[in-house]
Amino acid sequence: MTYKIAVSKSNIDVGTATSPNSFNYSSDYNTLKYYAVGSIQLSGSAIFPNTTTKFGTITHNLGYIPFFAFSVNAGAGSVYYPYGYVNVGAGVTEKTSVAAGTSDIRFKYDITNTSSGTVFGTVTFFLKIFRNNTGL
Amino acid sequence: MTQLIRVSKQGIDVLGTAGTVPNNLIFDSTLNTFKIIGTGSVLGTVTSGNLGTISVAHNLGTTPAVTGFIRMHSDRAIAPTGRQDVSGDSGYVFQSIAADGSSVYFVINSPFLGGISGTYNCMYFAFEPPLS
Repeated sequence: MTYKIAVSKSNIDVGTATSPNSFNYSSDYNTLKYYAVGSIQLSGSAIFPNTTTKFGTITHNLGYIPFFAFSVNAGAGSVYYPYGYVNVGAGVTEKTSVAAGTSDIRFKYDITNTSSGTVFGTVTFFLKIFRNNTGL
Repeated sequence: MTQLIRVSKQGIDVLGTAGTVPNNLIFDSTLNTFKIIGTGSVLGTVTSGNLGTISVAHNLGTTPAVTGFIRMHSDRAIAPTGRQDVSGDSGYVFQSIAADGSSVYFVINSPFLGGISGTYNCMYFAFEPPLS
């Protein structure tokens, strides 16, 4: 006999439910397991017509490439971008990227001057790392 | 009487008022959890100068919520909308991930002719609830 823990959603009989959509929790299904949170700020400047790339890292030392999630704040108040930040503005283009290795997470910020003079920019990454192994 | 299971974070009284705030809890049986109902991976190739789609069947019988990661060679792995982990912006882009009732699709943009061509190792997590 298989044992498990299951909590059904409201008005659903936990004893007969089989669909994962019927449960708030079931030990039959893996979940994302929190490991660590962190943040890092990157700043850069670029003289026309160049691109400046800034890197930063947060170490996790899990020994595998983990599931990670992040958001980016570009300093414009309380707006956070959960899939990275791309800004094509007047005289400037900014792009971000986050990449995971087996021991760290690396953050990239590209700022390109598309007009004249010097442009400046700052972004802050907010990271969550989970113990789930991507297997990559 | 409503019965439930709650586990609070360290330092939080699970029986007090703070114990009713979701952000103070590790687990609350009254709140749905993000359940991983499937994972999978696939190797595929996108040639330089192209926008390519690599797909893999998920066999879940429904359209799940998905996210995933791709990795090329020994590069670091990137999430959707991520860019190759190199200086500048001349590499490949993990443009998007999508799913329908049968498959998961990884859309990869390798825009620069003469640039990156190669095999991408793609993996996904599929979550409940389904999208359709």
